Amino acid sequence: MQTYRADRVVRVLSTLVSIAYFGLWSLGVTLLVCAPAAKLISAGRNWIWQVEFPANLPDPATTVQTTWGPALFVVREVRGRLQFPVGLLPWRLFAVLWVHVAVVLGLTLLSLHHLRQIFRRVQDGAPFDADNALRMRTLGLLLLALAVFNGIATLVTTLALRAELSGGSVSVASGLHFNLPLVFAALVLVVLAEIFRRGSELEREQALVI
Amino acid sequence: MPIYVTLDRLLDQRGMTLTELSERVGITLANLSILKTNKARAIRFSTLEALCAELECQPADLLTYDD
Repeated sequence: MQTYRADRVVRVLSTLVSIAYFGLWSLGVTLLVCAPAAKLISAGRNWIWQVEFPANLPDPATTVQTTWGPALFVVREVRGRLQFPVGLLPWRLFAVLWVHVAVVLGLTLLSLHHLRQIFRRVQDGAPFDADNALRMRTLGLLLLALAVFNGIATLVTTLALRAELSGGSVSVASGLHFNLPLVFAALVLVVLAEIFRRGSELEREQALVI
Repeated sequence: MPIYVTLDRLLDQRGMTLTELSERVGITLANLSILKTNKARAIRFSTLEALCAELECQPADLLTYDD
């Protein structure tokens, strides 16, 4: 019987996923632990932080001349970056931002963990492992949760930021936006999980055909 | 399942062990064990042919139906 050897692409991607997982773990823990510490000890220090958010321009539409005539040019999906000394940021706003980052990081790490496990079983030559189908389904649901949470959390964060800002010609844009490609990928994963579950059943039955 | 494989009876009659049969027919010991303990879900004609050829029997000698 030929021994299964995973495709080179699978091996490379598996390595990249592992690197991303451990990298994000280290970076995430460092960020979540050091951020409150940095805020606590920042008094008298001009440490600048920046927060990125969707923004509104006061006059997003303008008429431009094209070779075929005048046309309306509308600027959309502008992102702004608010830069400020970290010591001045109110704790309640810091808490909102911290929780947003922590939950997104946690969901991303969980997703990467499941993805690593799936890749590992595929490399072991058991892609239709019953656990793989369950992991795939969990991964799909995690990505869906990530997309929904990020959409809602971004709305909450931008509303909180908007309440703290005044003046200036640029304002914070707040609205409910979901990462539709991520939602689509999540749904594809959930349906693939069902296919793999059936594949696992067929493999088990096939093993009992002598 | 109401279909039974009477492999152990045939092996006793021919004074053969499961290991010897496995080597002679080219089916792994694990798979023969699955057959012998009636855990198999199906059997291929090629497997049935190999067993009948080695044990010098008919398929009906190997398989019994008992509802």
